[in-house]
Amino acid sequence: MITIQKSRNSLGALCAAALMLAGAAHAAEPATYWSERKGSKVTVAGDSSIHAWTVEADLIGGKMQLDASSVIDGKTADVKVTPTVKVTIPLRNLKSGKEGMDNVMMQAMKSTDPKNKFIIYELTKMTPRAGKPLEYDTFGQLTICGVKKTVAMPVKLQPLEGGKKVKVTGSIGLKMTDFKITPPKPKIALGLLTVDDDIKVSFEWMTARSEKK
Amino acid sequence: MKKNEEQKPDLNRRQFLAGGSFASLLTAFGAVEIKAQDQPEGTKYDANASPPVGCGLIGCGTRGREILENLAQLPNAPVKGICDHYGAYLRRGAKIAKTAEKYEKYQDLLANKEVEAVIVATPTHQHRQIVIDCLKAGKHVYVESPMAHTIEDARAIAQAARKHNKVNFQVGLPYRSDPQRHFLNKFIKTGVMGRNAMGRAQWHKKQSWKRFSPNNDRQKEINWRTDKSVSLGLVGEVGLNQLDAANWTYRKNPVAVTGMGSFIQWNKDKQDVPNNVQVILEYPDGVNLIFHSSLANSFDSDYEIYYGSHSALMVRDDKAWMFKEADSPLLGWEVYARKDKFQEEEGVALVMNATKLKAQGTDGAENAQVFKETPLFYALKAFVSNSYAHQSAAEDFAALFGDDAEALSDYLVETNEKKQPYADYQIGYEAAVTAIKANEAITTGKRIEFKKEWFELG
Repeated sequence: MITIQKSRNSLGALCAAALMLAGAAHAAEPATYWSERKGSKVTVAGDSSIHAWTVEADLIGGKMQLDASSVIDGKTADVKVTPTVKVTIPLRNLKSGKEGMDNVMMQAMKSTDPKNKFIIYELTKMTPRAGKPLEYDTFGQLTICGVKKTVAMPVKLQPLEGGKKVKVTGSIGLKMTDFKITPPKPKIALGLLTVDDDIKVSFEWMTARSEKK
Repeated sequence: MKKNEEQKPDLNRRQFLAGGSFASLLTAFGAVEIKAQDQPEGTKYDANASPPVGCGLIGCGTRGREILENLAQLPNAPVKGICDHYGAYLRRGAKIAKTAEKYEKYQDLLANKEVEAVIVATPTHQHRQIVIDCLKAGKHVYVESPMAHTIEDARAIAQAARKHNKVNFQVGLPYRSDPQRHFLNKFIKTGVMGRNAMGRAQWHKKQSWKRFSPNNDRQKEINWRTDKSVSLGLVGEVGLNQLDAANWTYRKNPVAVTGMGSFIQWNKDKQDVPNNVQVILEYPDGVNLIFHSSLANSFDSDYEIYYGSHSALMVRDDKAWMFKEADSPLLGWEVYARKDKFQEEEGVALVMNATKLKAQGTDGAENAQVFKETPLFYALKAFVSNSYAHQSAAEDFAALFGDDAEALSDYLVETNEKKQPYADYQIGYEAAVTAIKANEAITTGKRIEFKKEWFELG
């Protein structure tokens, strides 16, 4: 925060006021950060009757607008621009490295249905966490397989390269059935494999500041 | 590899030996078998296949129809169109792909929007224009090997595949998709064979490639494989998979090749390709591979042996055996592995997933199922699955990051690593160069040193 001391000197007061305005304007300047092509990762982890499993995606699209100076300075209390965030993850980009499992998952999520092609997240509210710079409590609308749900998720921002880039990380626990996804029960050599309803979604989203993209 | 078209089914030595006679023979001599385990029930392709990709076939000869039969086993490869300018072949193809549209001109097949992926199984010398037109039409392409009968054509195809990178491109080198071969290659990479010493590969089958038709033009056309102006002969048309397997095993391309050929099985015609050939491929560090192929004698059919300072590895069909030298290090596991006798030698069976099977209460070495599917099946399965994955990746990337061709290209190269194993344009091109020069060595009787630039696409 910039503190302005009162001055009897009118010129000094003017200069101070100008500085304050300039500083405030800079602090409140919205900056747009776009998804970087590389450096992002979404991991979905779950369990089953036989073994734990994970799938990963390396494509995250979207952008966020926020108060760049607060990110650079790490002053979470100074978020002067309400951040807007919209993130898109192609469903088919989620891969386990095992084709059979991928196909089971995609069938369960009806990936060929055009409305299911992308997982979409839109931020609705973001509040700084007290005493924890660059950590936020967020609320947003998460759409998976065409089902939209409000989700709460703590996230961290990590400025890189002097604020040219920002990495956003977070994780959230979800239930497949909340999104009308029936946990798969594929046949395997030992009988039926039952996948647990609970999953954990973690992400690292690399963004870079750019006016246009 | 194209099978001999229109050949009467002969009594294959492999079939004759099936039913345990060959295995019993080996067992009697103490060889140890190396074979891959079938996929566990329930995780097979038919249960959990990727979404369907509409397929088209150009060339409904014997190989083309074999491809159709394999595609029919895949739940995600509906054949939407087939093409052959020869009516009899087209009708025979239609008996397998009953619901497919029939075309006499491949351009008409390419206009069918339901055809997303095309398999090209025409004579080798016709590949170039057809493949390039397929790529330009935005179709995924699987082209039978050899890619082409000249380096110029092979390079043009490979360059076109590199350029049209929004579609999936695969060369028909089925060993590259065969789980057993991948298992063996990983095994070899552990150094278990010691220093590479030499190799030997053979393909023997008693048959004639000469075919007859009442129509002179048709007769000339169907005998393209014996026409030395367009055919790579035995080393290219049937030996290529084994030569490529050697390149893969040694992880190097050959540095020189010497070849000889003769006419034993049918009368020599000045236009004919030799039907009895021997080739020596020289690899770096003094490692040579001898390839011999004959249509005059079928003894011992086809297999490869790689010799190392610690052991030799014999690869035959979907099985393999390791023959250890007396002074080679003890690996440990081979004590428990099945051993088969081969003449005076004892070999260790190499079974993919043997340890896992043992843990599940199944004796892999004794009971591991031989693959019911052929390498061709796995190659086509990979092609269909990879085509879907490739298309999805290209679409998703464009949706997120726009139409940045360079970035898309980089991304698609990255995603190649996640595909099912296959022979890409570079592998196919290098294999074609190997075969083209080997055939040249046979026909000229000269030793040819490979120039590095021959293997480069430019």
